[in-house]
Amino acid sequence: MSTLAEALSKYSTPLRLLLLVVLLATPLGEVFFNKSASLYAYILVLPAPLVLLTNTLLVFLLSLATSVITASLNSPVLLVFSAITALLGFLVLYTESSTSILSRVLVSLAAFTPLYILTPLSLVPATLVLAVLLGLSAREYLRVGRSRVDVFLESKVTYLGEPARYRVVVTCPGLFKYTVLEDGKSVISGLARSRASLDLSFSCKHLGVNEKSTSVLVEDVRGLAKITHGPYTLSVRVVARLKRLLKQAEKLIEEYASYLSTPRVLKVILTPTVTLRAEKSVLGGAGLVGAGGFGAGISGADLREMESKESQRAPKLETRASEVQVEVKDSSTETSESSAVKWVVPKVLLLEVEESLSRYVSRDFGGEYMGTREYVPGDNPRTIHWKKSLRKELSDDYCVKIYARERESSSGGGGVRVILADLTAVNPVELDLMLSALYSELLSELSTEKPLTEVHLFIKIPGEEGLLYISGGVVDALVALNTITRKQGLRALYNYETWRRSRIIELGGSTGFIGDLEMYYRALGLSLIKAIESKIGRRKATVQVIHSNALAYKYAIITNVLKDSGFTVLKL
Amino acid sequence: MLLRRRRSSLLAVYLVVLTALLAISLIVVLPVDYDYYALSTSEKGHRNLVEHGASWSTSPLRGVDANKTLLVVARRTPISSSELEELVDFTSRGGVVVAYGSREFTESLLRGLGLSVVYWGLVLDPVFSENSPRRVLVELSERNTSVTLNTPYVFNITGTPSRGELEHAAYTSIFSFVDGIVENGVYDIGEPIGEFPVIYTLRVNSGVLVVVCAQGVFTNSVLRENSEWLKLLASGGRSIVLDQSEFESNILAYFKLLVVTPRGVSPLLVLVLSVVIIVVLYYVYSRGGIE
Repeated sequence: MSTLAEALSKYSTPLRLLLLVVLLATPLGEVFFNKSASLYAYILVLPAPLVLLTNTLLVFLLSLATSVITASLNSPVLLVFSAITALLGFLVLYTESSTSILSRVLVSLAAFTPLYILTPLSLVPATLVLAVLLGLSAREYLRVGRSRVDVFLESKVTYLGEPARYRVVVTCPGLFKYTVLEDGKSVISGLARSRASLDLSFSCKHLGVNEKSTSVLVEDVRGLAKITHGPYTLSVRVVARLKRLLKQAEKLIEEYASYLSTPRVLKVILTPTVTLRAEKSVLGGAGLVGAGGFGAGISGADLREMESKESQRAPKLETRASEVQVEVKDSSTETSESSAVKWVVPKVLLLEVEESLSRYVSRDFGGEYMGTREYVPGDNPRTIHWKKSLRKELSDDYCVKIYARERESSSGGGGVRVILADLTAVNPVELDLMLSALYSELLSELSTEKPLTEVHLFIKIPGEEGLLYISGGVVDALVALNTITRKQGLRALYNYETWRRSRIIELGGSTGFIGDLEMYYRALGLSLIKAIESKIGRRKATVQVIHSNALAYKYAIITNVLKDSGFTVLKL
Repeated sequence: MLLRRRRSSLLAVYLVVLTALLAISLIVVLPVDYDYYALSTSEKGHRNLVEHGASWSTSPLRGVDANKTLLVVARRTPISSSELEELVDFTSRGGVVVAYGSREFTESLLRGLGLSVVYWGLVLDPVFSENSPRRVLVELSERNTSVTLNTPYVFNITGTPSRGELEHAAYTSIFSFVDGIVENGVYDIGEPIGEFPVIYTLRVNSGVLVVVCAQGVFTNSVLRENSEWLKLLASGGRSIVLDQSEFESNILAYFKLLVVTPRGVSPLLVLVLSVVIIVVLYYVYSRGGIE
């Protein structure tokens, strides 16, 4: 169905010619009916040829002005010519415009208000134009009123950080303009004939149900009529990617159940020592090391107290589960950085891992029970004699069961993977992404059918001291990781937006606070190397590092230290 | 942000111009009630005279054919000697002048003609009057026509004019009195009573200067009653011109006299304002100020 304007568009040139004729005939009309013509009537003829040359808007303004001046001459004959002139000018604008004219026409009519006050008769042509405008507007409302909008949500579930996609289909007879609004703000607009199909999306801010209010504005291209459809409430459930990966991991664990063995799980506390070079020490700062680091952190207030000391060692972190510990100390006092590594058995976590593992494998350890002995780091937690150990609760020792025939180790046979994952995230989306990256790494090993690849995982749990160390086959590590993910209640400490920023800092060249911070991170890196080497020997393995944007500086330094020590570092 | 700022500034241009034009229009249209003003609709205004076909001029004696003009000079302020000289010269060229207005004006006019003038007071006539004793009816001796004078007053005039010949053209009735002792609007004992001359004519060559000692003659309140006399004065194809030179110093009144014609607002003003509106609208539209 074509609009009236489209039908009239072919008459735009004849309309202009007719307008020219009317303008030229105005003084003649006055002469014919009034037997005389005022000078002004002749003056008005002068701009008449402009209606053939100028643009549509100027034609309308000229014709409106001419009609107002003609009306001011207080002649009934001229008033008729005045009304015809204004009407023709408006029709030229209406037929030739392809954009909104409503506001322009109304503003133009309003702009002549001073002249209506001076010559009230000039209201006649203005009122005629307004009446025609309202008539056309009513007609367009009837057309646009037949429009229809359908909104389809592509999926009712999406992953955190991914947009929710939806489709808007607008149907309306003839040419129309559409604008899609989300929460009152325009997101897309355009022109279409008969039908418009739009693929749109909106970002989901949080886990769970996210709602977005969408409405569609359908209007005539000349702005004479507009109708708003909606608002439609789009409801999308946002889930973390991790959920899918957890299920995938559990499926694979079940598949590889026969290869499962208990992973070694320890907590490692790195306590780097920094010798001050310029009579002051900076070991940490709020937000930089204290919260995000896996070493010890101190506040700015503490720092001032320490400034008077020549040398300062970072305070050791208290460990609630420190019952068995192995301390490795760097004897060198000549270097500016040194470190200590303390291994602790996380009792609660071990129990949880054991419990998870029992879901997949039978507790068949074979061989004859020979008695118990004291726990040594690296012993299979499943062999801990809990009953006896708990009886000795006040002492720091665990008891492990001794069998005549130890179960064959399932580790080995597939290479070594070292992964350092700092799960300190500034928002849930980042945490989800980092966990997904970690899972994807482990699952990729399984997908290449390397379930027995030896994996050494160093994981920093947000808000907790030290690093968790998990080692064993990929599938064993997955069991432990699943336990941590499900039972430890991982969560982002904050809900900030972060972004990458390129900044070149020359390592070793900084002074003051940055220099001290760099020194501290270097010491932390050295401690980490000692921890890794104590577990995998002197082999120079590939270390995969996963961290958040906010900790880029810290891990840039640690990565450098690792590289200097001969490790290959891959950043994820 | 930049686009929004530009749009706001364009809208500001539009609104400022529109407001300025509205102010001009209102100044032109809103009534001004100065005494003897051509566009005033008050009792002492001349709006009715303008609608009767009179035109006005702020410089009445320049380029005017005296033989074809009836000049109405009505003022509040005294006339200067140079203005009086021009007036007498206009009369001597065959013009007809009717002068009336405030006591100060007529007094200065008569003194300028070389006469000795003493003011007596307002003349009231409770019998030969129109609705009020202040609207006094007088009979013109020459033309046998009655004229209604609004608030007439009387002078004791002695001496002879420097040019021409002064005649008494009309007297009030014998019932009239001068409200001179106590100006309370009623007769008091001791106040002069009888006929008083209120219209004088000064013939200079072929022209005549009619001096009416009254505050209103062709003003809105009494024009209808005096229309016959006006026709007689304007006979011979004389066009009526109202002297408005008194308002040259008043900017508002002078501006209105310039932009308003007897048929209404000057089409020239409408033309100028239209051009301004077109230019502003086109400027605003072409810069995207209004979508």
